Amino acid sequence: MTTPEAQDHALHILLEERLGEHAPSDLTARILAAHQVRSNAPEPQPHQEKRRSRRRRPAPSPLPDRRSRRALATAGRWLLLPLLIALALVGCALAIGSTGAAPFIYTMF
Amino acid sequence: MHPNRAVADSISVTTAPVPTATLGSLETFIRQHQTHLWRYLRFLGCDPAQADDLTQETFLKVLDKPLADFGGGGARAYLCRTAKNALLKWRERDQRLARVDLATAEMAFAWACVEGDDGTRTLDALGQCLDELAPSAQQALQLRYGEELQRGEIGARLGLGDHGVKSLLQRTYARLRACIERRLRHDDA
Repeated sequence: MTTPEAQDHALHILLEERLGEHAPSDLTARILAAHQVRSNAPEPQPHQEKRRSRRRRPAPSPLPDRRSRRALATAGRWLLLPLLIALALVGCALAIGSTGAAPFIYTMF
Repeated sequence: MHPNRAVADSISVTTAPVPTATLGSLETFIRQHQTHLWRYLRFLGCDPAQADDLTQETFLKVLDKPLADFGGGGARAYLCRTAKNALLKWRERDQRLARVDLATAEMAFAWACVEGDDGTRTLDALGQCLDELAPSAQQALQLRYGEELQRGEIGARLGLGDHGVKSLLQRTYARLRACIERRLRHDDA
């Protein structure tokens, strides 16, 4: 079952193609040329791969990296935030549990 | 023959390298599917230039692997899936939001591209339906899609208010939808 919204979207695209200058062009030559270039490119040499693998990687950080932070901030993934906060609180409780303040944790629950 | 030898022979047969596709067969493959793939990407919300780029990228990804014989429909489905993944990856990398949600876009594409067709039949039906419209509706569509004017500018040209243009376009869309459905059903009968 197609919704009117979907039909309107289809109509909009087809009208752009029919009345505007948005018709598909023939990409065959362009794709074949790119394919030729790619298939003629030299294969990576074994010694180059070895050198790359020898490069030292930086030690992994316990904090989320920049990409994860950006994903958290922009891509609507704030849903993960309560989980992270809950994990942080449990971590704090565990850390305090090993100190002299341990009896006070019980009162929190 | 030792049973293990028979198994080894069967494995060597099944893993034999697939012969490389000739340039002619690649060209036929691309010509056969490029319009369908390009339209699919447009329906998913790509502008024409981006649809060109992603069509090329998708074909290159598929051509890097040995060209298996999927049959017409299978190849199209595989190309569409590869293109959709490439688009989603591009959106994630550049943090772009989709102009239309994927479910609606795919539903729209399924409506416009009837089984085995790349959308050309629907486009032809649309052309015939456009000819049946009243001159004012044709002009409004030409201004909206041909000259890419905003509603206010269209209203100024046609001597209508903002709401007048909006209702004229909505009535025209409804008429076109009904006309396309009727023509496609008539073709099928």
